[in-house]
Amino acid sequence: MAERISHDVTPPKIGPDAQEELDRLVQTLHEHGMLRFANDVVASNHELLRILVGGLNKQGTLNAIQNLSVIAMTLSTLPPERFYQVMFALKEGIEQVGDHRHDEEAHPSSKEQDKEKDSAPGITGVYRMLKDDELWYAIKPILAGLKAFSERLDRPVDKPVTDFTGKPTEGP
Amino acid sequence: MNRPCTIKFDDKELTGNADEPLIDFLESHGISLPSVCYHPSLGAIETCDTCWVEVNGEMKRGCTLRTEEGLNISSLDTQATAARHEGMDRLLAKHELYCTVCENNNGDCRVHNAVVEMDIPIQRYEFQPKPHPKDTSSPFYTYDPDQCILCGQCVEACQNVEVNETLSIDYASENPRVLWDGGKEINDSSCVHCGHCVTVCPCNALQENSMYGQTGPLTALPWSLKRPMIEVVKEIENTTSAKPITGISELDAAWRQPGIKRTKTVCTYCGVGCSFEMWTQDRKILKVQPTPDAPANGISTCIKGKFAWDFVNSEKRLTTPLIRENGQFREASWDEALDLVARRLMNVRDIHGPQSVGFIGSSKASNEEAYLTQKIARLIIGTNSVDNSSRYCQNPATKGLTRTVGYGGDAGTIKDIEQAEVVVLVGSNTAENHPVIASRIKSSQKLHGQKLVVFDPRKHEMAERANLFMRPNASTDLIWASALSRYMFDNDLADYEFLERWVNNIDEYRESLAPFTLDFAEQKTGIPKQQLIEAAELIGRAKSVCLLWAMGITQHSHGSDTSTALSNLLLVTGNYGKPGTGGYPMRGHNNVQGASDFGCLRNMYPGYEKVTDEDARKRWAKGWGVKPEQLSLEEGWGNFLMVQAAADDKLKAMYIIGEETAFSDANTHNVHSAFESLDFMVVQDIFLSRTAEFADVVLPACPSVEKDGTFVNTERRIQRFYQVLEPLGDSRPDWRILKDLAARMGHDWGYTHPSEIMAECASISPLFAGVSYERLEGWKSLLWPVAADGTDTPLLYTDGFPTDDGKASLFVLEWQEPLEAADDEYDFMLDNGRLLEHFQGSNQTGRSQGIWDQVPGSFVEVSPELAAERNIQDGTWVRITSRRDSHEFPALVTDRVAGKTLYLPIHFGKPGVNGLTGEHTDPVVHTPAYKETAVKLKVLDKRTEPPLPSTNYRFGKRTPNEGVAVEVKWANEDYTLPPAQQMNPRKM
Repeated sequence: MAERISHDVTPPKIGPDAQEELDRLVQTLHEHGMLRFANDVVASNHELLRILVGGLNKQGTLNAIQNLSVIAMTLSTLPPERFYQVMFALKEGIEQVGDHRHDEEAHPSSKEQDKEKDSAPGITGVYRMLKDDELWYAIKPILAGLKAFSERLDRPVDKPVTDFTGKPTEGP
Repeated sequence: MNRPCTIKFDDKELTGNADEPLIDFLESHGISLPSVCYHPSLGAIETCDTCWVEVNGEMKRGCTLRTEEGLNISSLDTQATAARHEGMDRLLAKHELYCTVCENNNGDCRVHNAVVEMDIPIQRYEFQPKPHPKDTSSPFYTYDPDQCILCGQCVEACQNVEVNETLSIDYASENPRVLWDGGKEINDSSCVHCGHCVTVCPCNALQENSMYGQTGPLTALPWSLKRPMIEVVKEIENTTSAKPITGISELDAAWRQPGIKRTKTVCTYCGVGCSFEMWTQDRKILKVQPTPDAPANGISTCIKGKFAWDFVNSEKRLTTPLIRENGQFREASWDEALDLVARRLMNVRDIHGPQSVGFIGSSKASNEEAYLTQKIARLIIGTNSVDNSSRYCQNPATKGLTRTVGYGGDAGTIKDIEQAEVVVLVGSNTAENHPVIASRIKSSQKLHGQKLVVFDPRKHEMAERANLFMRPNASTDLIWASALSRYMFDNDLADYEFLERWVNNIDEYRESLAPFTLDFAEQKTGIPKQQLIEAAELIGRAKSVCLLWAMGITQHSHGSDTSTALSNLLLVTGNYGKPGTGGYPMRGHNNVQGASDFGCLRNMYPGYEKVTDEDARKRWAKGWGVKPEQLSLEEGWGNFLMVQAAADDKLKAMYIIGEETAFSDANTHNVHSAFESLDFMVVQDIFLSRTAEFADVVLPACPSVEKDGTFVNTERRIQRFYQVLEPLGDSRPDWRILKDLAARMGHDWGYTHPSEIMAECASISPLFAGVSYERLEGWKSLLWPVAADGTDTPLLYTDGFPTDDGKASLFVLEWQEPLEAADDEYDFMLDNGRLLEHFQGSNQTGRSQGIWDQVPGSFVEVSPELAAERNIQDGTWVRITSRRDSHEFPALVTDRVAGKTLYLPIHFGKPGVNGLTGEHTDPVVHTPAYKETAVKLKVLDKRTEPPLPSTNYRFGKRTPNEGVAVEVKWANEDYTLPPAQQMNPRKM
């Protein structure tokens, strides 16, 4: 005679427990000394993200991100060989500027002739410089750049993305 | 037959099948034409405007194109490109992109993917929220209007695939959104929670609630944090473009993949055999995702298959063997439990003989597990007393088919049912019990003019939709079926050519029809003669008829005969062996067909070879490596007879696997006392069921999602299911338990995987000769019989019938009175059966709170006439008394039942229907006549809330329409054809 038994089953463990999760973390993080840090970050991720998002949501941060993006966007449009040319020209220009000295201590071996070069050109000197093809060739790109720069400044920009991609938008 | 063709796409020649949708064709060539509203199961609904291409100088929506020789398409055309981008811009005005914190960014979001493929730098139109709140009323899914792109795929799926006809979009309204019943909350509408809309939604507008907060590393963040993050990103996109953020969301989708496992499995509720991917993360079931590849169901599911899987991780799961000791269960090790079971079963056999041990295999477990169950019974114990729950439901149908056409299975596939000119449903509440098959019928009727004829005492959904609905008196179906057969002969509607070529016993059968005049049929069935003629004309003149029947036929004292009469009718009208024809007994459990196919029958080896056949015995003995004499030539007892034998002290030990016999067998009082009288009882289950409470040893088994195996659905389709999760706790797959038990009984068969069990069965049984796990890999399936070369048989009887002369037989019948009928005292008939939301004893569905929200408890349906006569209202309690017992239920007044018929759902154990049912059975197959339960009714002075909440779908008001009304959208003066810009993109 086997009478009916009412019995409550022992509730099973469903899914990995904290110990098993920790074991997985131990394998990958503990050896690198990251376990405590990871636990702290994981445990407080909402708060951390809240702080992060709060920081991001400040106008200054947004400006910074967008400005950095503008730089990235600008760089993304320049062909590398062109940018290389400009950057190395800039580098050499900077070197030239850095090397430039006009006092005698800096140039103990300088002669009278060199001193003459450092002195002010005067009106005739300016006239002579304007006739100097080599010098004019050096200044011309700077003037062209200034012209383009000025024109771009005059062009109104509503949203950089539209200016950049050519596609108008009301915003995402 | 596929014709090859070559098309040119962006100047590249591509060869493939002609008349294939362009988008599918391109995808098969590894080319993606961005599209959002195209779904292979829904076709081109043309609402998203993101797939424009140029064809011969003309702009076309790519989704509308089908391949043909010489088709020349350009997607690079400037106009087409601009139009696609304009289409996407309009979508993004309606759908806020926040992919990295979105639960749907799992690699299959079609909005996200199209944005990526189109390389959208920034959206033209700003997203603005819609003036509609999120609908969170359903326990299973949520609708977010702010994410809805108004593509209408959900509407198309609801209206024309599921055909529940709940969803619509009014494109002419000021702020269009998806509407349930024209404007109700989801849970207050006619929505049946089948999940079609959620499955096809291309984004996160419709989302399973189980996904929320689960899928990605940032999706669990609260909205108080998500919202400012989204705003930051949007602000930055004004400068950077959306591309960097899109890139991050691509990364996010990629790093989600290792954590989300997608596994193909097969549903374990009804017999339709829906297969789908189950998405899991560790043990969490994220969602069930059907795909067009699923052979039986495609993208379709019902509320149970889509949403009722909480039982898998229920805390009530059995995870440790239990042994009865001093009137209590104590936990035990597997070694102790299995040793005890092996010792006691062998002991009982040795003392009382093999016939003293009986086995009930599970109609929910796999074919391989059914095979091992019968192998232990036959080979180790030496008894044929092994059975499964088909004894309680479909054995009469099997008998009716084997008497007439040969095979005890559906004659064809769901596709045949879809393409039939006429479908006849008899005693089958298909929309609730086999919802996906019902959807195919509803769809064929709605879209292709299929005619639907329903015979049923209950006006269920299919009856409401029927072209012709007839309500026969209880237990009279054999009469109208035979009267219709006679009408066919009398009115030259019989298919004489078919009969002559394929059928025996015509004359004798025709003579036996003499009593079945239409007048006699009208008198006995209560169906007006004119309606019977109408039905006969519809069936007799149709080119193809499928006839589906279920428990409304089989659970009667002459269910075998009535099943035979239905098959006779099909033979008379020539409705076998042709596409769109045949008899279809609707199998009620996921593997009730397979449990029988693989030998859990008291008279059959696997593959329907009789145990009394000496040749069959020789072959099985040889296959198993034993002498034939070791296998019994005597038929065993079925479920019902085993319980009776236990009560009579002839059966001493029982081994019951995954069957709730103490709940589902008729007259539970006698079943319980029979169990109490057993010397030894083992129950193997996933829960401590009511049956298990009587056991001496309880063995904790695994549900299908924790093991590998195969099932056979109602179509005879064998499908593989794959292990989704590890077994919970110390539970084990049934096949492993049975293998370990056999080893302890001296038969170490050494299986290491279910595939080896299937291979063994295929090597012995001709019916499954070509079945192998390789041929069933992934979404592949085989319909038995399967020849050794792997050729399967979707449609039976195309080349004759499996008999000696290749012919079917008309089987002579006489109508007999039911064994229990109403009389002056017991003046009502208690019909009973399932509800859509629950399954059997609710051991599975009862673990989902959402299911209980829909149907909180038991009730009895009473007709409006009876309610008026006895002053019964919803919630009025009534006492129902049968000749066995008496139970009290709250009443539900509904015209689903008429006159003196009551209806009691079978799912609720306290009190349960089987306290009232009797032990009268079909004399041929011993299936209890559950549906023949006469009762009396007394109205009690007690009233509670209505038993079904007003939010139940049965109270909803459907809003049928033709699907997505894209023409209304195009005709709207606000609509502008892309690439021109749209004035009000949030509306259009």
